Amino acid sequence: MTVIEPVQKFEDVQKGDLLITVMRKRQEGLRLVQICCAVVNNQYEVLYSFTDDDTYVLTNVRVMVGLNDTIPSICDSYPYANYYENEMAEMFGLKIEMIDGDYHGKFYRIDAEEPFLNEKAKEARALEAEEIRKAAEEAANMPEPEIKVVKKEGGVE
Amino acid sequence: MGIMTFRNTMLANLFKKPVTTKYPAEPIDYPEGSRGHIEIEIEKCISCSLCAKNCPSGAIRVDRKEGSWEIDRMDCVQCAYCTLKCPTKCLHIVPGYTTPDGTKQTDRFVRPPETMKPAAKPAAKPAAKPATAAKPGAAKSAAEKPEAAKPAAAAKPETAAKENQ
Amino acid sequence: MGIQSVIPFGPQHPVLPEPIHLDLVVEDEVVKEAIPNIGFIHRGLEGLAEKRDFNEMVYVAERTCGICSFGHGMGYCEAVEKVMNVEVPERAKYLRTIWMEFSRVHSHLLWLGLTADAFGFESLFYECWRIREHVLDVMEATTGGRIIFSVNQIGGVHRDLNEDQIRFLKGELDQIEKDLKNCEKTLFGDMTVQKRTRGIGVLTKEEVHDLGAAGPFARASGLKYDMRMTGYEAYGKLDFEPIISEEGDCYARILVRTKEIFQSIQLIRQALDQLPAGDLNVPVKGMPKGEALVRIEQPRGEAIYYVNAENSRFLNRFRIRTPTFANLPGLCKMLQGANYADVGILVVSIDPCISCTER
Repeated sequence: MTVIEPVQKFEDVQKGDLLITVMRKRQEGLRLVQICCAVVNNQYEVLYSFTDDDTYVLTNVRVMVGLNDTIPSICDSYPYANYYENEMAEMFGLKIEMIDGDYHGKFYRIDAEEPFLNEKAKEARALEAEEIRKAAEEAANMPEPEIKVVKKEGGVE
Repeated sequence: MGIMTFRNTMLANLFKKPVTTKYPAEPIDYPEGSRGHIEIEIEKCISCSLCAKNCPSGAIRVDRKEGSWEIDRMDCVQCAYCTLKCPTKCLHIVPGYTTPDGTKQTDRFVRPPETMKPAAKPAAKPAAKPATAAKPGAAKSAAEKPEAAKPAAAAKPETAAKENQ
Repeated sequence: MGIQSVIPFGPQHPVLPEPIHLDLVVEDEVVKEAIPNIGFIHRGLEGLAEKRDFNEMVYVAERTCGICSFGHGMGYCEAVEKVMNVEVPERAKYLRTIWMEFSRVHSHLLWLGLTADAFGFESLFYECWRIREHVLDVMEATTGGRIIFSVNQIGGVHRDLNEDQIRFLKGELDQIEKDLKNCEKTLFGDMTVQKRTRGIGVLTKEEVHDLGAAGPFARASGLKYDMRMTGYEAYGKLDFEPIISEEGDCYARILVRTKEIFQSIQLIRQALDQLPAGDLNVPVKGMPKGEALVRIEQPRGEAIYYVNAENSRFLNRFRIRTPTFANLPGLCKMLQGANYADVGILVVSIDPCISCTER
């Protein structure tokens, strides 16, 4: 029996490049193996793993997402990714847009909400949400730049 | 494609004796090394509570002052991690499962008083004090000197002192 | 145009070893769609990783599932050993391989019994489970427990096999092989088995690849993928080829799993012959720091163990991706267009281990 050495590769991508990277993996014929979410340094770290069935090479794509951000769903390239994404959304509160077959929090029939997100992360998320809201308010309340209307004195000097 | 290919085995099974045993009427013969329940040699225990801190299910409770070791039989999952962690190797895992019951059982073992070091002194000192008409305050401070302040041991001689007075 | 009705399947059902809920949209006895719901046995074991010391976590990880328990313990230990750069001694690797293969024999025998029960062949169900008792006797004699083994630790194993136990083991292996050959005629040749399983739930190789399925479920459709070929533990030194079948129906899955039992018995014999002398474990010092991803071949397929640690006694994240979670989309695809009477056999043919899926 020939032993095949399992090689693992890690890639870091930005949120914006996620869909393109996943589509490329799909074109190469790789199979989606898992999507894993962890909370590291008050950010969500989402790890997508793809494998090649002939060479057993595992490619991992890592995306760091803020606690209040959303990431797009990869269900266009891999239709069965919806189970992993539903699980992540329910367990960690990660917001994912446009899941094909979204259970809206009812995939796991349990009572607890976001059980895997610990207290520290929830507070950090609330703080971040506050900051974002304050920044948005300040941007809205900024005084409008003064437009000097030069009145033409009607005729009389 | 055969029809009724299982008939030989079925007919043979009809005439063999049953494979199941009549447990619990017939006692079971557990193989050696089977993980059934935990037993402790309480004389060797030093109340370090390493077993309690490392128990994955939290079934063991150790009280340092009283020298007691309690295990909740129904919470124990028979993983035998406590036997690996015990420094004096006084814990053993032996065959024989905990029998089903209606209520949770807790087994408690207390270390014999000779093996507990601070226990000897406070029992002697407050008992000597009442002879010199000590105030309750003095009896208390005498009892507090040995580092493990034993309120149970100090209270008893104290009440005995009060009665004596 | 028939009337569509929604029939709930589960969580309690005679074919299911563990609870899962499927909403079947049925029209005139033909299933149009199946929507799964899980969470009946969710215990949040991954969340416990943040509250239990990483050495104790072995025992928690093992108790994720009763049938695949040795694999979970071994996978967790391998992942943490990879993070901490610990090299396990050779004897421990061989012992782990032997116990893993016994676990595989046990799991496949259990599954054969459940499948026979699913199409109503109760005598075959009892016979397969009687053969399984030999495996459980071996497990109790060598590790101390019938289902949960608790022999793994980070750095190796802490129980050994002595000469008497090896002789007992070999005797039981011969008995298992003899009894299973007796049943093989029925499993492969009986007309009732063929009528209920041939041509049911067919998935082609491309469909199985597109759905991300794993394990004997995928190998029965022709996808040649077995994680044991990567040579983790002692598999690199044993000689075997993955067993595949081209047909992709329920009968092919029975064939693949039964042949895998015979292959596992050969692997155990090879490993016992090659068993080297040596230490059982190495002491492990310090805290884990870093991340690692390990893949092993559980009886049901490829399982992935991901560990993320940050220099403390408690792991930051521990995740198991179990093979049944990967086979669920395959199940939903198979159920579309199936007869209502075949739903039981189709659900059992993916070898559902829902405790693993939900952790």
